[in-house]
Amino acid sequence: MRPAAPPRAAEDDQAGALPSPGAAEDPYAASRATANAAMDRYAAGDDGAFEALYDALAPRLRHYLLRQVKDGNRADDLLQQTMLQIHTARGRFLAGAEVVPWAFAIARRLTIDSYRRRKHDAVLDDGPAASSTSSGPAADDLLHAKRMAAQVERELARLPESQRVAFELVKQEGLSLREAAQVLGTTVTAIKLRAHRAYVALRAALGDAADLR
Amino acid sequence: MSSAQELKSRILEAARQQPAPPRQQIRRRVALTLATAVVVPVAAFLAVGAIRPGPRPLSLVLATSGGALGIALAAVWTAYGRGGQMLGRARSRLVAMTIAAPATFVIWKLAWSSRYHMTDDWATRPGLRCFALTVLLAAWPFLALASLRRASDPTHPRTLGAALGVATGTCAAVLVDLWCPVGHPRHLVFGHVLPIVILGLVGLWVGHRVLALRRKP
Repeated sequence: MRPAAPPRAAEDDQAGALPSPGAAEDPYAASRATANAAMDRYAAGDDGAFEALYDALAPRLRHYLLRQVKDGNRADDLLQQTMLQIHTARGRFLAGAEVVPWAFAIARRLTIDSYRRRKHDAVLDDGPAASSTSSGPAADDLLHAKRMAAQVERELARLPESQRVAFELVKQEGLSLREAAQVLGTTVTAIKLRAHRAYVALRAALGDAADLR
Repeated sequence: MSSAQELKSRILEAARQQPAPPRQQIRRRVALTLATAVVVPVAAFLAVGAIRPGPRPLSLVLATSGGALGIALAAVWTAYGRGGQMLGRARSRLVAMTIAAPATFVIWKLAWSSRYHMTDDWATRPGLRCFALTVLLAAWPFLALASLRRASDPTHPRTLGAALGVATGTCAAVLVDLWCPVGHPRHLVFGHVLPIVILGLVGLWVGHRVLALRRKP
């Protein structure tokens, strides 16, 4: 088994150039470490580690996929495809590599392929993703949050593809800048720039009412 | 059972029904394939006559081929290596290598040939044989490296394919440089660099068709 893992992702790149208070603390650090350890075991031949890998990856992947396709069944189908791609390629997994950006990149590619096959589908409809607001707040707050979420989605859709995707991965899916750079096959600097431009554009479009954190 | 648990059970069961080889088994296959990627072109090179210095002094042969070897190794390291990440190197780095490798190769060769006054035109050697030999020597290594990366790249398969084509073409050009004494610019561009560029273009297509990650039926 691999000894202590090298520093896979610089956690300090989470915040980067984005002015988002609190982003320096990575809420996904534990699940990232669990996923990396499980993937290493699975690549080494421990078949039982796939379940631990699933538990560490699937919730985040499904959240991402649901945001993209706005359809629970399609999201489940894409999640299954993503996990099976990881399973099939387990022997090629590099010791010490990061599994999260790889998994997100696979999910993103499969989503794009899925869209290409189903171009007739409406992309922006009111799907289950819109109902992800937590329960508890008053009706007015809930309504305001829903409206704001819809407005953010509309403004996001207007952004250039490169900026929108960078913003979604970093700010909405919680990937570090380095992970997002890997997912999109580009550099950390480019991701910083794209996400920051998206952030500025959203701030300008939504005004003070928006809380982009 | 909740839908989340059903989904998990379904995926775990699907994985159980599709056995996937672990890392140890893949390593053996990779080592064997990489070995053939070196042995096959070297054997072909020996079969066509191996090193032919011609009128070139040994120091010129060593300088041009040594530099070209360095460029080729850097190209292979950039294109095939993944920098410790599953998603490989950034697109910009692959593109930079794809452009820089053939350009640096021809500049290096021309610079040393000029220094030794070996840039005369050889009317009987337009570069057709060098062109064919470069493509021939690069073919198997390119296929071998592409097969090792088959259906695995979810981010930039075309760029990776082009980079692999250029890298293997540059490796073949090192052997052709040992074989060909001509240093005339037109010959070098047509016989030594153009095949590298063509391999890069073929790599774009191979990247899209072979290297790109695909949804399983």
